[in-house]
Amino acid sequence: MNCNKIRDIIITDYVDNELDGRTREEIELHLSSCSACRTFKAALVSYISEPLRSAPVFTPPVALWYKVRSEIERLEDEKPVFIGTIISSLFPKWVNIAAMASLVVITSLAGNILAHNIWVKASQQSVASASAEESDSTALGELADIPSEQVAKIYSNIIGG
Amino acid sequence: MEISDISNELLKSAAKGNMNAFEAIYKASSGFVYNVALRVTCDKEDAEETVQEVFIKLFEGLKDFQFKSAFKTWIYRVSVNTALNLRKKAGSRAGRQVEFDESIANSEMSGEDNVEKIITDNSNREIVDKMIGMLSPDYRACIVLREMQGLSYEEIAKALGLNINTVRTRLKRAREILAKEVLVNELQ
Repeated sequence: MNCNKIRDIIITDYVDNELDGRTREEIELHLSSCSACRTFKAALVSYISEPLRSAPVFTPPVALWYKVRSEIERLEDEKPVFIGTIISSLFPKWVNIAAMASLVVITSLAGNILAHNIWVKASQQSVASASAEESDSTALGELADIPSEQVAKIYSNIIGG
Repeated sequence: MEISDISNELLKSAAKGNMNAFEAIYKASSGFVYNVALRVTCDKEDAEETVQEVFIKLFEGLKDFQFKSAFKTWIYRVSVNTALNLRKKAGSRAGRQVEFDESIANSEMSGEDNVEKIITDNSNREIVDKMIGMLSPDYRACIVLREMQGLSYEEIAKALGLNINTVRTRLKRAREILAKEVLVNELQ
């Protein structure tokens, strides 16, 4: 590797400890024999990395936590509360699961009963209308016993008013 | 306690609404959020607003962090993005170049400081403020996460949604800019 390539590595992975052992050894070997690259590395570390790495660390103001907490509490208070949420928070998880399963079974049973009632009602209505139709057809059937000329006369009376 | 000390149990407890657990998470990670935001926004009020926004988002999304690895990546990413957005807003709002806020100098210093340390820190602070101020927000975010917060390339890449080579290139470019300014203009 030439000096330019070595310096590209020094300015990034070398000073940031991102190199594997073998490449690091290679760079160290070059540095031991190249004073220009040694100067480059020393300047980089002492004028740039060191001041930044030893920069003062600030502590957030203590009052900031109270601001954060009160803002969270305010936002929580503004959220709509669902009855389901309150109930589920009162009982352990398995009770909630059992309650949900029961609800599904009850809903399913209620649906079946309702469907059965509707079906029974519809059947009864169908039987009733069938009986009525049967009685109508019986009435028409009675015409069969009347002589055909008389039937024709009855029809022409009905049609002609 | 630091971010890496936050346990899965603590996250789960906070997700159930335990405010004491959430406070413990806040205490372990607010320092990181605040310092990153201070460096990225260069403004104390924007840094405080960043902390507030990040922890409100965190409280609302806690159920998604059952594992601390996901939490770490999330807090890195959201801290930087929130700070960058606030900085953009501040810049466009005032139509100005945001420079480092002097009031930061009055912020609380961490640890027990003796006089000698305060003098060294003040001198160092000026240098660091000038250096950070020379960089664009994208380069600044990379430098802050690497040099000041000690994140690896992989962690920075995840936090900023970049690939590792882009992180490497941005760090190289940022250091070249700093080297030029520091050596040519004798910032020291």
